[in-house]
Amino acid sequence: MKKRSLFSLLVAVALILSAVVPVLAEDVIKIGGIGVLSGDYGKYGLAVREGVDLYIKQINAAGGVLGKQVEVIWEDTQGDPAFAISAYNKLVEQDGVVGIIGGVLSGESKALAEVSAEDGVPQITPSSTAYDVTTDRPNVFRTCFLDPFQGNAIANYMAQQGVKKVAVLYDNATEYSEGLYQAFKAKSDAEGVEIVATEAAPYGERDYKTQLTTIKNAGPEAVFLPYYGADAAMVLAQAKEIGLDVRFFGADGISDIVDLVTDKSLLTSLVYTDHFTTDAQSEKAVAFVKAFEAEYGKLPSISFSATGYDAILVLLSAIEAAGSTDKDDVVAAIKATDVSAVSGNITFDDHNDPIKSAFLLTFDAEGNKQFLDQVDP
Amino acid sequence: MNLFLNQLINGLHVGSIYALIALGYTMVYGIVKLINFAHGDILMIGAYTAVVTLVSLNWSAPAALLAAILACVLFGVLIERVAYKPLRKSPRISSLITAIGVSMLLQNTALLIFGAQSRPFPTVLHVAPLRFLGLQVSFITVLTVLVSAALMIILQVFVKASKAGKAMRAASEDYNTAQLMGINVNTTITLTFAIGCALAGIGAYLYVMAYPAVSPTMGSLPGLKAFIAAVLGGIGVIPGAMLGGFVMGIAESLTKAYISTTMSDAVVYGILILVLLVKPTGLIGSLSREKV
Repeated sequence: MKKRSLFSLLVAVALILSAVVPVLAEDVIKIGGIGVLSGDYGKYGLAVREGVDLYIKQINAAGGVLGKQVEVIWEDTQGDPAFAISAYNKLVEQDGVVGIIGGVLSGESKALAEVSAEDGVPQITPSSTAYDVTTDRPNVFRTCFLDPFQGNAIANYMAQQGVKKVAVLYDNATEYSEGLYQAFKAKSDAEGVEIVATEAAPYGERDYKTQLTTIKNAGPEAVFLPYYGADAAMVLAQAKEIGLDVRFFGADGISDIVDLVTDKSLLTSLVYTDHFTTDAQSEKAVAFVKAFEAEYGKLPSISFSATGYDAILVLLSAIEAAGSTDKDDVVAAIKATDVSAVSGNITFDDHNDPIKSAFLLTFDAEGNKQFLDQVDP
Repeated sequence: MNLFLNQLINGLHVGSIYALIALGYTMVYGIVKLINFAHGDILMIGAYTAVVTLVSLNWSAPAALLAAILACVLFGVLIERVAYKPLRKSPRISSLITAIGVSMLLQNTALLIFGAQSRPFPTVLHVAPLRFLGLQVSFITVLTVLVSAALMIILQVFVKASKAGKAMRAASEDYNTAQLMGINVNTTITLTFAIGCALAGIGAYLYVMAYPAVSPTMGSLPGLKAFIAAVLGGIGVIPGAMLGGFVMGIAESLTKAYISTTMSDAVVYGILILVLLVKPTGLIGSLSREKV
């Protein structure tokens, strides 16, 4: 009891001091940010970082958390799960972070979850959509929807649009693409959408013409393309080259394709599921888009800026609610989260997944995102 | 049948790009017995030059092609002079390791200058696909195959008939004797590098036209495949590089189409091992090979 009152006194003093003097090192709550920040997938991590840093800036300006300023220390994994683990060890052991935002890709998040679950350090991934990232790991959460959900949503939408025959081109070497394919396959079978061709090509292959020729020969009405933007950009260009003129459906990872194609008209045939749309009307979303534009001078074109903003919001709100940075208290507080965030209202289910909507988007001929439909869980 | 032909054409397209790059490997190997591992990165330099001149400087497509070729030649000759020439008398392993070092130097320098994000390559050719016999073939494919074949024939004639070509063959046969006969071997080697790199520049342009993304490590994979094509055809022999490239491309494409999309590399490398077991000098290499 005595200790606690001393603590609250300290907090009060810190609150007053923080307004007038530069923050001392001990008065900082440190959060670790882990994700791919370079390489072909680097833009996803950078998008997350922009969202997180924006929230940190806002909350620090508003007085911080528990009266302390918050600092995020970023580590680049280069997309390699092994680097994610060494980054985690460095952040937790050397820097003394009290929570982790990350990883960005599903592979690195799984590796991270493996080690963070042992320590019980709260971890929130803003973007890893693979189902089993959070399975049996009570300390791991996410602020994005899941692959099974997007796979379902896409298969449903296709069925609604009257698509009867579909082909799949996917990357059987990454968990993200494989997971989406499995979910999509299960749902499309149930919906009576026939998969007439299934072709695979690993990431970075660049030449997809052989697979696309086989697909064209099977005569589908649409192609499901669970790839990231860099690969999808190649696929769309080569599909046009060989005269495969159908609609393409992708998932959230494809959202960065805009900057990777010069002929934006290719994008009009693409439909994909996203976590956030800048057309969203909620008060939080409108304020986020405005603040983001003011800070970075551009729109949040990759939706992981929004889910990243939400991830740090959930983590810091939980620390505030728990009243300490004790990891078990924080994990319990995250579990009890019920906040209206930028990408929707966030509550967590038994599997630590948020229950929230997906947006189906497409592009116009100038490469601007167009809102098509909202899918609720 | 149409499907088969289409896949064959896809294979020819990739294969002819491999072949074009393989020519650079094979010419250099023929004359200085050096496997120039930086050759794939020369391709990357060509691609960046093209994208920078086209997009940032707004040059026309032919001007950008010319710039790409010049940049490749410049870097190729520079690398030869700075990194390889001083090592010409040292053990071969030294120059091999230097070549790997140069490759890393180029990749990481590009990483520093341009960042890791890949840059899209604009569409430079707006030509409708060609249709014949019920097939649809993109113009880029036809162009790539024709350009590579034409360049190989020109190169073959050059090496057989021109004075400089004769000097190259002489130098590759016996370096010291060629010198005694009054051939300027240094100039000849520089010329060989220049020609090989010019071909890589053209290859780079054709490559990014087909796969429109430019990144610092883009040269590694086609470089490796082209090297294998050169070995498969018989390293040191010009038509061998061409043949090796086509065989690799077609084998890749047909494996993907008819066996398994994920097995294509295994099959291609399997073919390489088989060929080398039966004929260690490659498909058309001979023991008393006439190099270059």
